[in-house]
Amino acid sequence: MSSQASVSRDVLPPTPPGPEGSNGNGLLRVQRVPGAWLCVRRTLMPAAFNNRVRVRLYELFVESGRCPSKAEIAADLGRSDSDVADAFHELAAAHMLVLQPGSGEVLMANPLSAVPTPFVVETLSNIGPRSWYGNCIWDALGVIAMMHSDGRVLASCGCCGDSMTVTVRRGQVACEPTGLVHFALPAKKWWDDIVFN
Amino acid sequence: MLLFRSEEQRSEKHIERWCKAWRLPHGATLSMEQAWKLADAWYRDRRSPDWRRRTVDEAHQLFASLGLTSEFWRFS
Repeated sequence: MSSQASVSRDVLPPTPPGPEGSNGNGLLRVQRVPGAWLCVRRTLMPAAFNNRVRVRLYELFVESGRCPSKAEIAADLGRSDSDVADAFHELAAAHMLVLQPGSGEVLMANPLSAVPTPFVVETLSNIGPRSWYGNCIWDALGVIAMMHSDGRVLASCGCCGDSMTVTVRRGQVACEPTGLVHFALPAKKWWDDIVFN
Repeated sequence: MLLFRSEEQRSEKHIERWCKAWRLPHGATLSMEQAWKLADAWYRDRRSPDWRRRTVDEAHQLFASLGLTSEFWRFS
């Protein structure tokens, strides 16, 4: 990291909406502060390395059942912790990961959550029965899809807290008791506050 | 994105109560079938080394394939 500056929000185009956004400008917008983007200029990691980190993150997550740390991925890849930290920041800036404030460790490797959430997912894939946390109901169903397995989501009604179970078996979904999914924010605002969303 | 009970066929009573409690306008409601299809299409290949982010147009096309065509589902 060679420099850090607070840049007026008007200088840069708005944060690209949705998970498909691109950071662009050679600046990594790593944190929004009132009225400005906190921008960090750093040596960009090669895209191939970032993808290697991303893929290995998911592989280790699935193998171990918990989210690996920067240090664990660095040791696995034979690279430095700071190389992996840089890759994490670039992947987060590109909306491919969500990092924990402060530590820079992974909070969300969507659809998986690194921390407990109210969306418990149980899958039964070729690695055997496993349990995960999804970030929301969309992601919880996404875990089942990503694991290419049957599974179920143990959740509760967002309003009254009643227990609900969503089961996916052979590509067919069922919910007991009957349920609906509600998206509170429109697509263009999803990344304004991804943790709330 | 939250899950809500819908006691009667597609009743949105629980969703409306939640929106009122959070002082948020009603957003968009998906059936479980729509939500599963969206999750499946969005995340099925996420672990693949060849995975890449969808373009905005590709995301809009995916939403449209599930009948999600309103302004709510547009990134831009």
